[in-house]
Amino acid sequence: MTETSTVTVEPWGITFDVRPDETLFDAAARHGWQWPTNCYGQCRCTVCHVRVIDGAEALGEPADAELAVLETLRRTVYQKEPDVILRLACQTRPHGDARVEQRRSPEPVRPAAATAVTGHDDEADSRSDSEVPHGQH
Amino acid sequence: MVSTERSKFPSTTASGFGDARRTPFEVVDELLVPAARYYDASFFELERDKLWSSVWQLAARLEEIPQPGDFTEYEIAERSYLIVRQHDGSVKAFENACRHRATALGTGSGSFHGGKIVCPFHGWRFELDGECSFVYAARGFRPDTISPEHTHLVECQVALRWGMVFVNPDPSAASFDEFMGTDMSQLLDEIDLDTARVEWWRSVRIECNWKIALEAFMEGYHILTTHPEFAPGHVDDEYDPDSMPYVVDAERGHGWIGESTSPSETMTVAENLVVNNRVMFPGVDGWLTASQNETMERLWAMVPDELTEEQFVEQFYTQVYVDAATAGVPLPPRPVLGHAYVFPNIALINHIGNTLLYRFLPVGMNPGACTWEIWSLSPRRPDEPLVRPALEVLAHQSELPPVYRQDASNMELQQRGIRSRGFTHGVYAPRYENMITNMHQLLDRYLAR
Repeated sequence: MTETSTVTVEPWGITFDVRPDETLFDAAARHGWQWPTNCYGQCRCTVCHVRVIDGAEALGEPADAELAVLETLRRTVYQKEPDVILRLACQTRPHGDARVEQRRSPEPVRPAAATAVTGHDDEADSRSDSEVPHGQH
Repeated sequence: MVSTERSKFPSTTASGFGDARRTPFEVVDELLVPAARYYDASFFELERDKLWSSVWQLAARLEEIPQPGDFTEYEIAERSYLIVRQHDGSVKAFENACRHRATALGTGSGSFHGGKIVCPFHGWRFELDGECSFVYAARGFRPDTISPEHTHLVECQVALRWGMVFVNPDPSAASFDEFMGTDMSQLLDEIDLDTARVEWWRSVRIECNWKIALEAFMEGYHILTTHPEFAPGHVDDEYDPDSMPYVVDAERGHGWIGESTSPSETMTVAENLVVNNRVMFPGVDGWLTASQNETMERLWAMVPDELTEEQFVEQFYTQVYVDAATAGVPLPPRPVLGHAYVFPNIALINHIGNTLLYRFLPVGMNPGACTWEIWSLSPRRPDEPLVRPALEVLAHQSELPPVYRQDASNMELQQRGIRSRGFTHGVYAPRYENMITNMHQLLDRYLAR
């Protein structure tokens, strides 16, 4: 479990490495990709979910909290695909290579570490317009 | 109700503290502490409003939040705070309430991923530094009501010292350095808690007021009776409580005990050292490491044939330092500090590199219950990364190690007696219990503000 894994995200053809004990969601952020989400890694919104194409066993066993939201997703959205393997990118910690599908495209953002160094203004610039609420800025 | 009345008084003095005579159940004679301070609901509310809201307090140990985005919740007296590791490794603390409708943004401990704190109710988003960066469907709000002053998280003062995060929710409170004072700061600097690792971290609910639990660790007068195994065969004054030099910082409330002499008339210094360590090692599940304990027993077996008692004492301490340096975890030079009390609610004991750190927190708004937390700390290798420790919540005080069990048992007995009709006040010895009386004096000064 000390070696990095490689994950490919279809249909976008994005490939990046995932460190041991790192979630797919956090690994994407480290590589400058904002993975689609609404709840930011709290195992709630399911926006980050993927269909697993290859390497399901490398993604480990989902915990109860993840299983619960996946079950609802499967029942409501994936009814016609009984064999689909679903995982939440914010929960799965790959320990081997995998290929997954995420329908929404990850958006490029600067890695978090870079924004801290370059300061507040740059950080604001890197957010998309939709992030800036009315009445501010 | 009481606090509303207080605010009518322009009670601030030059020192920033008010007139203590305006608090209920104030200490008038410092050696007679009113019993109601340990159970009265209005006094407890006053502590919430005047103490916890504006005092520097230990909110977390740094290893609870090793990585950027990691958070831990600090809850005290109906208020909750989020302690959040920032992108640059610094730490910020916020009131744990979404500015929309007060929803707590984090519970327990965990991580905010992607650098965002997201409200689980309506999805408002905050940066790790507390800036509100997204209001869902902001078009539905009147613009001036979602300006930064209304939406950014409310920040607390933070100080990082000795591997700990101290917070003060009061933006106008004096600095942490002023609060600690140079004497206590220097004593704590010497015990090297910055490079400590958590051996274990436990908490247990005790059915007593938080101050009753705390005060059990502010004097050694109880040792002969509560922990007789430290003084085998001793009766009354054969075990001398004057052996511990108590020092208090009257301005700030802190206190400490320096190097003690042997309390026993019948045990030699070496015998006292061995008995003390043999009781403490299993008794508090710390104090000595297993290898330090083995070193002591190996050397003690050489007395008197190969070593005199004096040589034993000297060699024990020398060997412990040599072993630590060889293992790559050098101990700080032998510190003065054996015990410290930091106002208002933490205490620690320290012994050859090992520290047992205690924090006492009220439970909800119940004056008769508290949580006692214990961290067992030992030196960490310089290259050893911070690892988030797991808090072990004990179901009952009977699961504590035996010396602590003796303390906890007395805490609950004390709470059972505290409401007795004839028990209007406790009687405190200035020679042995001055740390406690000093704490109450300072508490009154906070409550009178």
